[in-house]
Amino acid sequence: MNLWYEPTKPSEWLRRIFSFSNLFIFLMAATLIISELRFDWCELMVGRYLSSLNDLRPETGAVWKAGEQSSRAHTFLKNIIEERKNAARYAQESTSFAELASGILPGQWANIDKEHFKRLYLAIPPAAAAEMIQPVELIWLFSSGSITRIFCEGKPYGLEIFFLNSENRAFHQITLNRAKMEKIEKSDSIFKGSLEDISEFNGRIYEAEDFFKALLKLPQDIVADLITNPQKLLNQKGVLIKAGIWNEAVSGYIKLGFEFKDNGNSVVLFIRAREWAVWRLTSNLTDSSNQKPIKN
Amino acid sequence: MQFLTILIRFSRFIFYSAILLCSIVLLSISTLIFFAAKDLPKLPAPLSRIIETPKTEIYAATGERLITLGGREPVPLSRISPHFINAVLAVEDHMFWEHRGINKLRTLKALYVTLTNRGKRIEGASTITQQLAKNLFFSFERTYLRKFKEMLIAFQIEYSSTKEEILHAYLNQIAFGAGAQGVEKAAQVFFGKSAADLTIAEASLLAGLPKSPTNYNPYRHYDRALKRREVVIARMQDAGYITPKEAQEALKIEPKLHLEHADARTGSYFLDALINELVEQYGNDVVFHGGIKVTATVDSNLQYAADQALKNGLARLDTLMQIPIDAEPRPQGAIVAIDPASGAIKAMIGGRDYYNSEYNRAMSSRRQPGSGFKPFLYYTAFEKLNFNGASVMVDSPISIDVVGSPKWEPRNFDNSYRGQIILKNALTDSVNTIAARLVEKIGPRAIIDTAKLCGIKSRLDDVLSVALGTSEVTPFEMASAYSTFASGGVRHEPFMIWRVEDAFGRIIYEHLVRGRKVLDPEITYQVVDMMKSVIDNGSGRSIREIGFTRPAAGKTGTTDSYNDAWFTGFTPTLCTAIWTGFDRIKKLKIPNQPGITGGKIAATIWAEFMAEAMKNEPIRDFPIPDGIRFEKADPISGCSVAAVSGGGESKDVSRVVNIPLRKNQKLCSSPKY
Repeated sequence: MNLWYEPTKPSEWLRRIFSFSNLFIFLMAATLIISELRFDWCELMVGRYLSSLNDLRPETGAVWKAGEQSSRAHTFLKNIIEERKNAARYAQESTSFAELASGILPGQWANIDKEHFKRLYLAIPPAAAAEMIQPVELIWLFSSGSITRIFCEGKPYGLEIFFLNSENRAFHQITLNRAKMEKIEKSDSIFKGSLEDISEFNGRIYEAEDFFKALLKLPQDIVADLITNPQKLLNQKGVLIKAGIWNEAVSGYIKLGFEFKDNGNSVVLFIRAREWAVWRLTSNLTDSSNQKPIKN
Repeated sequence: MQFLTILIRFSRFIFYSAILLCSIVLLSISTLIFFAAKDLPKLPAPLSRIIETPKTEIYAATGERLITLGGREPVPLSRISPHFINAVLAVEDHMFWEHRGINKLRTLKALYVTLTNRGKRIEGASTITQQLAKNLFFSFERTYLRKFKEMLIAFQIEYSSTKEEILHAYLNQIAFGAGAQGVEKAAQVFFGKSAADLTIAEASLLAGLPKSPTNYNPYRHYDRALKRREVVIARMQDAGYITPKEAQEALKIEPKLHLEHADARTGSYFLDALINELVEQYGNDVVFHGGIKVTATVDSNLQYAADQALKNGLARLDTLMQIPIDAEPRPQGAIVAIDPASGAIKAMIGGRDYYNSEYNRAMSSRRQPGSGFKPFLYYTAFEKLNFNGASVMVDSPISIDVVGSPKWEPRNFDNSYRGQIILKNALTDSVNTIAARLVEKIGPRAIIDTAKLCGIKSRLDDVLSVALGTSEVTPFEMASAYSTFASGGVRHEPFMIWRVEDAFGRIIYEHLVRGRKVLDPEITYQVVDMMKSVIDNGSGRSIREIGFTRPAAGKTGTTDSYNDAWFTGFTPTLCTAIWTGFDRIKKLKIPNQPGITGGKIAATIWAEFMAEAMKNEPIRDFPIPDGIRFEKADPISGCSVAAVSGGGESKDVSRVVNIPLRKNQKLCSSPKY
């Protein structure tokens, strides 16, 4: 191996300076610098590298922050719209006011059309319906042409229903108490059990025979106000064994209970009777000494 | 030879050292890029997505767009004046079309300056791409690391976007100050025109602003902005974008600024209040980034009329009080107009100059209403004592014992006493002693209850003087409460928003107009009838004197020391409260004369506003409730005219007072107090 030695002649120096390796290194360096200045390959290379990592990098910085705000706003609004859509769907599919009242939560609202409102209205007992809005008033509201929509707003206690004109002015407002509506609707369903199981009938339960004897003594128009829905009783299977009178009047009506026995099972059906007619019946029942209430 | 050897050795050392150093630097930079790349923010794709923030729009009830919030309207390069593009390129980055993210020579120069002159600012090194990277992702903190990251992002932007996309993004997000972000907004704010229509003179002025939007804000430093523009124009000329002649011509023009959009503020007391309500309801994100569409209750015509009426009225007040033009403090004022049939706020002005003071006196300034509170007293008295406008009382000095306090001895405003007087005239002339006798009989609590029912929400002191308006309320509350009288006793909660929709037009909120009957309509009518008399014959008669002839009712209010002058009044379709006074307690007073009453200025502002607001409305009188009948009464005895004149006609017809009575009421039947 030749040890490095210092050139002794300028020609040797020049030969060494312009050696192939030196020239190569110099040319390479110069090429790199000039090509970078001319073609910006460093920038492009870095740009390409960073682009390849783009999806892995965090969404930080002012622009993404603004984007997040937009995104949050979008989500917030979307939730409101979704809730509204759900409430609207629920409202249109509801089969009773109780269902409507429990479907539209506090803070939510929905519009229902007149026909749907009519269906729900006609489905509740006349007394409860009259308490909600007098039928005559409803006829006037619907026929006057001023009502453009019915707006339901959920409240903690139930529902507010507004009859609105085209300027969003509320012509009439109905407050629906959820619990009350449920009670009304339940009260019309069948109770599985005996009249004695319902405390509200205490002291006012009669043998069916005694009850109907007293009832048939009344004039025909009073009977019609007592048994307002005879089909319900006629359609029920089994033997009618007892009848009872509820201990409370609501909006001019008193509930009557009829106990049927079928294959050893008892069920109670309810009918709403006019209050004044019930008093006449009660009077007949108490006047007759052998028609005493069954003790329970 | 020795020297040559040393030279060659040294050169060789330098050469290899340079190569080594370059290798080390390259390696270091590569390592730095490798590690820094992980923390760099992600770049949105496409780049234009960054500008697409939906804008919230607020519309007047009359349909005009009042303001847009938050969103930006990106405009394509084809809709931007080429002069502006050239000006920006000339002044910010004349090598924009050539470089790949950085201007290497300028960067090296800046680096050299930074290293050799520590503390000296690096100037002009950032390219448009670097500025875009900085504006989009980085804070304005000046650190080497931030600059390095900014440079890397610039490389990526250049790699992944075309030059046109970069320029488009830059021009649409750049901040010009005065709340203007993006060239379109800036052109609208500063010149009231589209970015496409900018002239060389305007474009060069705008292009100079981003360097320092505050220092060059042309609204505040027009001369500085023009100086900066000279630099821009010179660069444009140097770059060959304009000829020397065009440059000279542009320099001669001083662009006229669009003064109505002087800054980012809304310029409206109503909009401030509305935006606050929206933010409370939906939060900042939805209001400023949600792209919602809000329909407000304000009527643009009425708002303009209110602004003009208040400005004119306060100018008259300045003249009356002989206040020099630039003197401070100056009297302030507020107007609130409400539709009594719905509660919709139709106009609201909270001060004489929004840009001078954003404090909304209409909503926030609590002041004593003075006699403006008496309608609540009279309503309560009519209800509790079955009084009517013809009930008789005696106007004489009064002294009422107050437990634990000195005697209350209210006096009349004019210090005179009329003796026997009917209540209609007592309210018409705003007689304080009668008000004191009434509150003594019914108690302050009942009056407070009435005021609260009507819509006053401020705390009212349970003291006798509440009847004379010593508890402070806002003009908004007064307008709201009086509108209950205007609607015949039906209260509508005042509101500012009719409807809120999302960007797709789906309804988020809508206001339902629901009134609640809080006052008896017949008693309300009796009080309204007396308030009509205030305008026709009483303390508010200046309204008739200046030519307002429509049926209207109202009441003046002036505090004892003339600190506040009010007039609140209404027609059947619009209720308006006016307050005038100083922000800090100071008398409204003409030098060497008595103070200024509500009837003197506030009532005239009311009349001017109402005349303009109602000019296209049909003339309507207040509807008379079914149970009301009218009888003519003698103003002294309160008895029927026929009875007083012995069955014949009254001798003095002008003294006859028409009194509305309820079913159970008769003239001359109330006991005298």
